[in-house]
Amino acid sequence: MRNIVLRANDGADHVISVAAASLCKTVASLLQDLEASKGEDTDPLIVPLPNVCNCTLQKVLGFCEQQRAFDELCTASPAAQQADLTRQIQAWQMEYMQVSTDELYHLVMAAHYLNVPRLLDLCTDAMAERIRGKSPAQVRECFGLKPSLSPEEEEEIRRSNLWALN
Amino acid sequence: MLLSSDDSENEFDDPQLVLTRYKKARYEAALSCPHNYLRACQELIELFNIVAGPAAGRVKKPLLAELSADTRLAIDCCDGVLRNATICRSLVSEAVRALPQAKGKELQRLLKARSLKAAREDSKAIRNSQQHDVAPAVEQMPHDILGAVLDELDPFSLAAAACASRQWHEEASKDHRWQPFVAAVLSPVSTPQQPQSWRELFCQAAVGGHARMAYHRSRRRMLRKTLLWTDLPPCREAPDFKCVTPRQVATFIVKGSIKELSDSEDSEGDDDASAVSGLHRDMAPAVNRLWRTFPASCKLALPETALDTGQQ
Repeated sequence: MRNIVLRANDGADHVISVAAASLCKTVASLLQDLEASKGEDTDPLIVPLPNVCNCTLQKVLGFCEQQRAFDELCTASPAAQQADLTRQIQAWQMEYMQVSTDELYHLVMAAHYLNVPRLLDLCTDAMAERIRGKSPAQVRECFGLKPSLSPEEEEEIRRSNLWALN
Repeated sequence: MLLSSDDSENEFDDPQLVLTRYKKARYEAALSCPHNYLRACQELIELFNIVAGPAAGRVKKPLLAELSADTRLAIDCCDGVLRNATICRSLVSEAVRALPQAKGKELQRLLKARSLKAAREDSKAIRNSQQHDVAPAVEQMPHDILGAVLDELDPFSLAAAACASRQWHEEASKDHRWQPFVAAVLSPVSTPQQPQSWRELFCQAAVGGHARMAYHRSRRRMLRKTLLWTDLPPCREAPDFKCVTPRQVATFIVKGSIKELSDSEDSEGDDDASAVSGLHRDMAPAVNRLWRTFPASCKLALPETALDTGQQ
């Protein structure tokens, strides 16, 4: 089977299987295009990713491999164990999302760039979880947003949303 | 202490029966989940208390073996929550009084090693979070990602997020995002087909204190303090069980009769009936419903205060 090499922006190479790479829609479509134009090829395909750093790429690939393994388990196990398996997957995802906001941000950008829909869903969920129930100031602090609104504008927005800010 | 009053008339039960009842309480399962930890430890402490008493007799030896095994488990299972760590320490000190010296020393050593390890992990985690959690550059988040994130929010958090920055305000004020909220709050009859702005409509309903809005509001408060308790199985922390103190459970395990319940100093009058029935139910065959069970996803969200049952 053909191997795929993903190269992070600092030159670090990660080899993944085609099966795991199929979760990254960007890589998968690239692979399809290549196969359509050149036919089957056994050389490893090198994909440079100029805006993904090494540690984020590692994390993304960890997700792909793990999801792949879970998928195989899902198809192999009988229906009775599905619920148990779902719980297992949820537990793993919760563990996986224990990252700082900065890492989460880079992860969501990488997931967007590589087009991994499931990881993107997971990340947006986690981000929403970090916003939920916070005051505007807390949100700003948590995400490191610079106050881009002028005081008058902010006052205006505050007033229109007063019902939510008690 | 409880024994002093009634040990003359009450012989301890057959060791085998005591052990069976002890097994039924399933402390090993209770200790391994954080939300049952406190209650389980309290009951273990009471058990140690009784066994260490002067008249423990032939029950003492087999029960102490079980108890020390469970104490060891308690030390292993003790997590970072302060409340649990405190009760774990008092459990060990109770165990040290009841157990022979060598065993007690061993438990103390175990506890010390464990807490040192926990402290090391703590400081490591703090260092890590300080290193990494420097303000991320979320400023340039692409619109579609931000939109996907905001789509997950409830209206109140969405309105709060809208005040955070210009980009967020623009994204959060997009009208299609508010339509489902209006649908959730207003009945289809009172909703105009094509309003000027769904957001405006929702704001009006919110300011007007619409009836269904009140529900959303309190639900949000509950969510912020996390967890709804209503649909959980009955358990040791359920209201009807609260009146049974850890000591009563311990007495029941050791002596096997409920008669002591009415003798025990801290239950009186009306409480008795409910206490006894609660205990009956509790010791009934459906033991696996003894302890609170949660789906895994709820565990992290457990509030501290809701678990402090405040018995005794």
